[in-house]
Amino acid sequence: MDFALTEEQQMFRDLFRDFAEKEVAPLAEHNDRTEEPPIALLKRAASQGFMGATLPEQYGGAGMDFLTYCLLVEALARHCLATSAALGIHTMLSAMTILDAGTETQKQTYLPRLAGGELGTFALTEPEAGSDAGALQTRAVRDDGHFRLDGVKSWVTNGGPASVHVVLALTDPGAQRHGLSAFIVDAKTPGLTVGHREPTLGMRSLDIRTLYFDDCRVAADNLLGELNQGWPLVLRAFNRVRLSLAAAALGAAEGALALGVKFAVERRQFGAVIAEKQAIQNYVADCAIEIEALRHMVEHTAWLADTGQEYGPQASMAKYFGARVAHETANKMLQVHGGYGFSDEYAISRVYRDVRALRLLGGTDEMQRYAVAHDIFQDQGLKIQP
Amino acid sequence: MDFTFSPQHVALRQMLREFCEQELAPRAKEVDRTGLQDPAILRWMGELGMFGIPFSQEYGGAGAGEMGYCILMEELNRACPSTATIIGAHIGIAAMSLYLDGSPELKRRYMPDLCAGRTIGAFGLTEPGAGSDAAGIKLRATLEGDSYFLDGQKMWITNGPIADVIMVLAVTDPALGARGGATCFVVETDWPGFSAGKPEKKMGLHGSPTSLLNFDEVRVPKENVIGQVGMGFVTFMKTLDIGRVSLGAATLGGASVALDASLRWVKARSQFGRPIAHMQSIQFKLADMATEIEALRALVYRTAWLVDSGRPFVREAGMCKLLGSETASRCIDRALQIHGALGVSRDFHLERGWRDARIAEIFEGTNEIQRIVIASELLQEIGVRIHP
Amino acid sequence: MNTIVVVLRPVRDPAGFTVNRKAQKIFSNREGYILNPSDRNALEAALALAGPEGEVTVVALGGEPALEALRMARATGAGRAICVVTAGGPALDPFGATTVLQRVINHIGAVDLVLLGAVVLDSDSAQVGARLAAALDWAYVDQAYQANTLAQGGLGLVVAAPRGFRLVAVDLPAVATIARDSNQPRFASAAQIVTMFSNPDAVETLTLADLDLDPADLTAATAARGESFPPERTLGQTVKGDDGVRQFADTLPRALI
Repeated sequence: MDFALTEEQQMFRDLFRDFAEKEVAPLAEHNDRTEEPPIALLKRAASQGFMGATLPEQYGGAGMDFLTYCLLVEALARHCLATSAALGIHTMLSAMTILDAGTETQKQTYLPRLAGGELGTFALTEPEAGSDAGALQTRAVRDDGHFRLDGVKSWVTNGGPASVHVVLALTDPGAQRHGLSAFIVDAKTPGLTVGHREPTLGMRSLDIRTLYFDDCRVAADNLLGELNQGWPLVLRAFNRVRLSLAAAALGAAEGALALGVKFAVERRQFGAVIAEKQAIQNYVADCAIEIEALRHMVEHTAWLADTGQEYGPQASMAKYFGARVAHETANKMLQVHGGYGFSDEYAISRVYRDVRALRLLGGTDEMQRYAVAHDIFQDQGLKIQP
Repeated sequence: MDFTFSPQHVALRQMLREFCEQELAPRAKEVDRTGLQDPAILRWMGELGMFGIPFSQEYGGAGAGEMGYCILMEELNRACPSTATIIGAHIGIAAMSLYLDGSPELKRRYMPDLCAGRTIGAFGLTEPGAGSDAAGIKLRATLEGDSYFLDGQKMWITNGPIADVIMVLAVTDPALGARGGATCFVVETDWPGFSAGKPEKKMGLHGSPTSLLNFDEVRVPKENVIGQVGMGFVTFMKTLDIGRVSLGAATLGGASVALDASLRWVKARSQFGRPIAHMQSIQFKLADMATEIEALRALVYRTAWLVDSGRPFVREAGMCKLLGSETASRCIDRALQIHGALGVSRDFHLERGWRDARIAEIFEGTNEIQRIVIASELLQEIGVRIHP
Repeated sequence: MNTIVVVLRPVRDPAGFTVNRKAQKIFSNREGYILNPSDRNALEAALALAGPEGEVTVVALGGEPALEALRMARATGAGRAICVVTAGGPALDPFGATTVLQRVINHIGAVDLVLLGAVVLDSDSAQVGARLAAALDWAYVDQAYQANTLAQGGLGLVVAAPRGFRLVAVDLPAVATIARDSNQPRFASAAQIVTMFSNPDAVETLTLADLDLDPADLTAATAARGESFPPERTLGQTVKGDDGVRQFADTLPRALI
């Protein structure tokens, strides 16, 4: 087994780190305080090819493999998790789903736009369909050369600034999740209203919206993939975004650890720097160990994806583990900061707030555990229910 | 052993629960947003005796003891941790240091107004270079004639921006350092040379104003010494010890309200065709929360009994603070997870409780210090003396 | 004004019950008592009327819950509290309660006004005020929102009228019931709670014998014959579409019958 990054991957990693330190880091506190989505920053990222990272070059993408993409997300997340999440969801859930299931016309119409800096969303969640993602109520009814969409989508990341929405709706209500279809919906389509923005605990610059579909007419050509074949699309999208979130968690955890270590070697109490205290050393060691394990999980999962192997269970594991490592690391490193950890003047409290949502979006901790257990018991011939 | 609360404590809790639910809880979101509690509410709370609950009626308090004070902190923290922190610092460390070691005359001068909430108190210990290492304080108090002149800074002082009186620990004999040469003073904030900085911007407890304090040759009459000159460190450590019990009670309130919210939610929210209360993962979280809360409740109120009955309580007080702060963080985090995306929404109250609770593992002596204190007590009993 | 008496009735806390219409049963989840909500408003009205100089005496019939309610009322500002201990005696219906209260009023003496809540929460009873006024031969006003002394003497009571409120002027002595939520009941102070709940003399107790009453005098005039439950709730109906208003108008009369 060769665990080394290729030369190209190393070069990309250095490029990503450079971009993150020069462009992303200086804005992190500002993004959080003003809650403004960093549109200009994302456009600069697009000009570097980052917004279409894994899209083929023929569609304007950078043609990166998953491992390289993970290095990108990790580098961004180290400094601003919100920015990495805006990019990650745009890429893995929106753009890649169009790549996965789109016709050539659809790919040529939308992918260059998404690689070029326009933002995309993935509108699946509804007020009554959270973890139970299959319990959708948004309908798409065939009507001549159109589909009429009616319903409400909630917690749509990038919902405000996006120009392209990938929307999941029921085309065969009786068949439940086997009657789901995906649609590409332009943001300006009549009948689509962008609603209330969710104010959140962390990742405050993420623009998260409720979308209202009220007799929203979408051309039949905008059906993405086969009719009633939306659910497999969703499952593949979940796998991708879970890998992405695991990489983001890794970056955020590394960022938090670095903040804590820096503080520990500077802060003096009881006549020495607090890094000399065993309790502090234990916190740092525990976090470093978990981060190391997480890194291997992310790289291995990305390798599985890149070599065309099944990687869903590993993505769930990495995402679950990553979210918890990021939370634990931020928590412990906040404690290392003492009273300063509670102050807005130090970055650690923002990181602590930011990482909390990782255990909820992209599938809660509980849903990841279910996915992993489901897979294990299925091998035994047993199909478990949520 | 009688584990029941006395009738006056039951009645006190009833009144406090109602006041907090009716007047504090509905305002908590606005307090978090603006950083200010309505002064009329604080005045009302003062009139009802909330600012002096544990202190004897002789000095204007309610006479409800440590037990009553713990009940107050639990109930206040259920509704509005920011307001609870204002009162907690005022009673638990500011007024308490005066109450424990002040002379009767000094107490008669300041306690009635403090107990009625007509004046607000703060406790000035921490400095930029002296956090966990409280013995590293440098604020100087120099005696000249009948007065001391205080010069230096205090940092992270709860109620700093709104206090009328500050109980300050200052070094009176540098040769002896803080442990043997520090003295407590009552300083009035309108005395020349004193100024409070702007409120610190914090992750939580937005409604509990905290700031830097500047002492620029502030003249303090020697009558305002609390206890004996040179014995200030002992007074302050005693005060912090007793303050930890009520902090444990406060965390109990935060944890309890998170469980209550979770119970309502798991009944109301359905996924996969039934209320999520039917999911074993959810059930186990609820059971763990309830068990930890029950254990904390038993520890806190037993320790309050130790205090009120004059028994030793230092180790148990540290345990209250340690167990309480970590229990509250765990329980509130579980509640947040149970609520899914709603848990991180600022349109809902849970994330505020999550932000507010975090500091409890840090202030009033970090949990690392608590562990050192507890270990120190344990090891001392077997003849081993440790240093931080 | 002379003494104002407020009658307090502790009732079972509704938060401790669940009514199951399907099973036609009331499940008691936990036992607890609260003060009848409109009696709290009556106490507040009395304290406001009496002011710092006036005399408010609170009266309750029963055992431990009554004593607790009386102590809290003392802590809230009532100057005197009397508990008629009825444990071991017959269960009192409005007739029996009135008989006892009339004796208590006479025992207290120099009473100008009796206030009580307009309705008792658990029994839905609203009789005691009227019966007491009749027994004492005093003026009676029901469901008052406010009580003020009038410049010309006597008491002014604000009551609801078809389109608003009207003022009823009443000569004392009188009995009045106070409407629920008609005022904001004040809180008891912490110091007063500690004092009243740790002082055994805060509440005076009387027995039925002290009032020259025999249990036979208090035999119930009413008897409970059982419970009936409202029908089980059924799912509502959604009306949609362009003629939704007409559908709704058609459905409504049937739903209301």
